[in-house]
Amino acid sequence: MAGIALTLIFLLVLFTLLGSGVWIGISLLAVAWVGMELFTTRMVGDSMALTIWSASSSWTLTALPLFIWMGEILFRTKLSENLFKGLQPWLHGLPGGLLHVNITGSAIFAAICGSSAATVLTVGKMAVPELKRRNYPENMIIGTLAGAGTLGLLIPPSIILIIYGVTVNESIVKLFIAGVIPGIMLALLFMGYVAVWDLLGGRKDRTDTASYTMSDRFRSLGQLAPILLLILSIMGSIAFGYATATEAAVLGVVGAFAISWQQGHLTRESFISSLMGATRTSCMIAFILAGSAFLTLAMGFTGLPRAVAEWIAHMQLTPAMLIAVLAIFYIVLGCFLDGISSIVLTMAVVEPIARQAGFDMIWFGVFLTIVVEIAQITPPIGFNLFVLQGMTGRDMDFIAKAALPMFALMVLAVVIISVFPGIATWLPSKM
Amino acid sequence: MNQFFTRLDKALERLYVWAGAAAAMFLVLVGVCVLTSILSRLFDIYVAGVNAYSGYAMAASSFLALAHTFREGGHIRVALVRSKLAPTAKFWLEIWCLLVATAMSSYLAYYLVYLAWISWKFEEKSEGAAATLLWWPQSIVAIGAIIFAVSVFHGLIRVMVRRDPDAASAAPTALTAK
Repeated sequence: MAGIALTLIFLLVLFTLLGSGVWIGISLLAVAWVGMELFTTRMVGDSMALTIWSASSSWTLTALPLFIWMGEILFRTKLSENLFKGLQPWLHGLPGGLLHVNITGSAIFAAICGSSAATVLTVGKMAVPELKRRNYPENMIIGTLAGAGTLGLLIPPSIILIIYGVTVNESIVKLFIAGVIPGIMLALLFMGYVAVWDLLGGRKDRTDTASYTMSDRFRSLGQLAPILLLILSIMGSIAFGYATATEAAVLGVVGAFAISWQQGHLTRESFISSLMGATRTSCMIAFILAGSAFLTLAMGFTGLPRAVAEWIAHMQLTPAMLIAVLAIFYIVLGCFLDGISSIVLTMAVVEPIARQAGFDMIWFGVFLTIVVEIAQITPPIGFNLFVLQGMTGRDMDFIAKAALPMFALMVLAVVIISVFPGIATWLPSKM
Repeated sequence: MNQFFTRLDKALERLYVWAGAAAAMFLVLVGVCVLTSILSRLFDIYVAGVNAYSGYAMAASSFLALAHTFREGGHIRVALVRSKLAPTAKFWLEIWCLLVATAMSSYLAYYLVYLAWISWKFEEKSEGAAATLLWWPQSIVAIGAIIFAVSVFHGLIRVMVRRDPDAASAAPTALTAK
């Protein structure tokens, strides 16, 4: 009985701190501290310092700032223009036309940057005004961008997958490889939707009548070549075992500098601002991870993870039901927390549940990432929606409604990878 | 007196930026370490403990950047309630957040200093090839944590003096708050 009361206090503290807007890293530290004081007689401060030191100085984590830096460098080049001009001649003739630029552009940018907000921003910067000028319906422009922008989380290098891998101690390389096919599948789902929408009468007053010859198309490849080359060398070196995730990240930084230099964007200012941007973002994430390492330690003492895992086992849910419950849980949680926080906050409890249910942890990482992606386009806290709001000036209702079909497609993707887990696990198993 | 505080405010502001710049250099060092390990493998030269060093550089970078990131509004928080409150309520809520943050960051700084001190006293070394004296990287982490605690307390004072709930930490932009 005392256990339940203490657990309730523990949860109450957690929600009060997070809800009142205390910084997430600080909240995690405070909750963990409360948990340790309530449930153990250990020296709390010493355990905290040691745990945080080992979590923060781990070698696996070093891939994180490097991939972030790579994204920051490329974000400051004229990539959005290159993507638009390079993809336009190829996608123009498809049903749905240039809306596909939003989707493929996002998928490509996702492969060099792990953040979905940056993906939306980069692709949208050029595509939104260009598509509007050609009279594409605004809800489709916004919807496709919101949906496809989330690919940044799934297609490697993905910050979320690095964090998941570090938290549950699984191979980041395998997680990266596992994200490839589901990412492409999701992009194809979005594209299929756009095509069907168009064939059912979406065209009408679009004004893009330009036509392209085959030589136009191959010339446009020049715009895309450097970026595609960079992606292939990063993914190739990881997939064929030439490099660890961290080493590939360094190659990515070097490659990003090369592209930025070749385009004449590599200045003192752009170097410094990309470096400082990367330093701040990785500091923010590292701080949350440090807090969550301490929280995981404290959670172990509270017995909460084991109790919840036993309780779930006791309910004898089928794996399908468990997946559904977890998916709904994370989508609801995602209404209040960003993806990284909701994963690190819950992993201490959810990891034992997932392991006990016998889920493949690589598959589970991909599942979790898609579910967290869904939360990115769900109001009230959907970061992609915020970015789009800032970009288009439309109100949140309109944007959320425009993103709704993409929400449905992503739920469909979760169902598909649950029924056919091989979509995620086949490629890593070949390594 | 007033002038003294204005100067202190400015000096602290510079301290956070310098610490942030040092953090950025440690991030570059992470890259250099990893690059070294790639090159040393290619040319079959053995460099002891590069992996451990890159981990230490990562920790140093993360902690030294804490204060600067805090000032720039880079640390994420749930702004749902905060954004809907009237100015007075928002002010008091911010005071509460900053009190919790000051307490926790000071607590963290204290024990990280203690950790480094213990490592120094017993000359603890890392496992593996590097066998570095651990107090070295740990004290950089501790310094970062101290500067962070100072910046949070500084933010608390600022919010109280200016009666402005946004005076501690800049509002997060869409890009930093992902």
